[in-house]
Amino acid sequence: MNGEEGNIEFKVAIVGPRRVGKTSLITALLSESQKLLAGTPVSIAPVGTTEARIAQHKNDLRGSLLAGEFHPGALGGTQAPFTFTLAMTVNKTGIVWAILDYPGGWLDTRTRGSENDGEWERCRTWIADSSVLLLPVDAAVLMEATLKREKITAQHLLQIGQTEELAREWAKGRAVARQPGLVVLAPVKCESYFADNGGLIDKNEELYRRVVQAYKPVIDAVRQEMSGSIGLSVQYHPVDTFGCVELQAAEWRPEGSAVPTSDTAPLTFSATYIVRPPGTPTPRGAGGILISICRQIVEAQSGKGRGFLADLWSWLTGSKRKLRQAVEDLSKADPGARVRML
Amino acid sequence: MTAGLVTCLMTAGQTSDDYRFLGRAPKEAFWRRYAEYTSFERPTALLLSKGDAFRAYVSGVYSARRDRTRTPLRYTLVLEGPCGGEGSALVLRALAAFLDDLAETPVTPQKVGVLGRALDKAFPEPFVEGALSALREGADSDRSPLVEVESRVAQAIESLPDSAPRMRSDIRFFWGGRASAASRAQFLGYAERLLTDGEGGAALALNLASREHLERLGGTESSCGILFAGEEGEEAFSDPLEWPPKKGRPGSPKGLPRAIVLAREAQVEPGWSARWGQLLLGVFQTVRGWFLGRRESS
Repeated sequence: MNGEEGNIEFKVAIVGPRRVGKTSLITALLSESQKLLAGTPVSIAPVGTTEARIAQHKNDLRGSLLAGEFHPGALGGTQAPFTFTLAMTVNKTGIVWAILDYPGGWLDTRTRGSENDGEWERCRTWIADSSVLLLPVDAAVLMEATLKREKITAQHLLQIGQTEELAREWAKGRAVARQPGLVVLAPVKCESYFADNGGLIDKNEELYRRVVQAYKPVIDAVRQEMSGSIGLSVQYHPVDTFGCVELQAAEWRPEGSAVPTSDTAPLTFSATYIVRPPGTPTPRGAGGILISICRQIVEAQSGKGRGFLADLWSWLTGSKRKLRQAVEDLSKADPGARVRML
Repeated sequence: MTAGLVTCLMTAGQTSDDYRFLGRAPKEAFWRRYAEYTSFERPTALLLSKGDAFRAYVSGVYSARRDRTRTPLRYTLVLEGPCGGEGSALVLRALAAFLDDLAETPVTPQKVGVLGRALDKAFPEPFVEGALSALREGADSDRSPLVEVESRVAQAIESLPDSAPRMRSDIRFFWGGRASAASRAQFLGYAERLLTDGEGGAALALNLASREHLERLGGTESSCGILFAGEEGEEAFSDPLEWPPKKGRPGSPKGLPRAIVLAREAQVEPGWSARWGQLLLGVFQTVRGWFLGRRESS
């Protein structure tokens, strides 16, 4: 439970497909959390080599944005697990949000490779230990699928089947341990579907409908496993991970050079974005995730429950008054009009 | 094929952006213990030697091939074998090319370097796609095309120039920056010692770690050379500096550490006595200046 010396570690699990933009989501979460905590005695900052890792990501993003045309692929993918650690502290002690990032391809046994089985087990244990399950969704993959074949491919690209399996396993573990759980469905790269952050087109209702429809099996699985349990919350948090880009073209092409033979032949998806001047990243929507996590902590207070969240609350009520106040204040903050309870 | 050398190559293809070892995979992912200190997606080199055998890992080697989302693809090389053999020479040549490419990567991180071009030549796109397809179908590594991977890697490395400068010394613990030619030469000279002289230790070229991690990275090694590649940190530009691990730790030198002549002063943190001395000298100079000033003005 304890992370850095004098700190308490709060594990967050991410279950997302390959190339969805998990690192970009974490970077957006940090950036917006810093804004939320500005002017308070509490600060949030990357710990250890997470700082260098986020700096690398920001440099890549900056380089990509400078070119005027943005390809999410230029940011590269994750090749090995890495734990991002963000410390929310007062006087150097506080809560360390530990978010495990791993190659999205590991969700699928066929693309994981047996040499990664051991490491994948470690990732699964991490997911089971986490009280927050973050499910990033590529908004463009869902929104730009119009034909039947494209919609079928979108299901595969988003690895909804594997996500359902892992989410069910996580929920079962929560139910057995009688622990509350928070599931956050977080569509990312939503800039082109909202008009509240520099965009001109508002398709947010359609995005919501599509996400809920596509992830219904995941939501149902979690609800089934935790039926009768206390403290399950499933929420929808659409995030503009970059803020300053606009979808220019989306392309569905047959995989490889093979000529498609049926309506279900696999396709590949690629998207190109143009950069909105002045090309400065303005992420939006990720701050609500921090607010929801704080709300979960506060709701686990007053000795009603046991386990990690209750322990965390007693730790906060000890000598960490300023930090507890910050958590309480954040829990009461407005997560924004985009957020919906499912 | 080189006797006793195990060669593994990881890359991805146009339609599958999941990185897989083509053919044989290493028995142990020994590089994972450095996961906190480096992004394996970016240039990283690890050379670990026990004196009689070595393990080498080189990643973040960019290819000219791209996947379906136009992302430049990368190679990762893992080589394991006995020290002093033909395999050692091969590893040294690959490391030399990798370090040469490192000199330019801070400016253009996704540039295809000499090593990447050599691997691209040995692994043309149709071969990689065929090998990945065979992997997905569950093909064994001893069947075509996967069986060709090791010889193709050897062929690629043998085609590399062997002209990178090496600085041979007997310094056991040092660090430097990848943007410094002297540090790269020191690092390569040290790698040669590990590969051919039977010396145990770790040569690490990392991209997230900084000076504050020296003890954790090399404190338990009998010798250790680290090349920092921090994109924004000043360490990336540093010439080689000797770094003695704390006394009492395994591998700490018995005598006083010797400095690498290049930058002796920069590595020495002043002790308390030196700091007090500097402070008193400062006070003395201020008071003296004040008195002299008064005398002149009167």
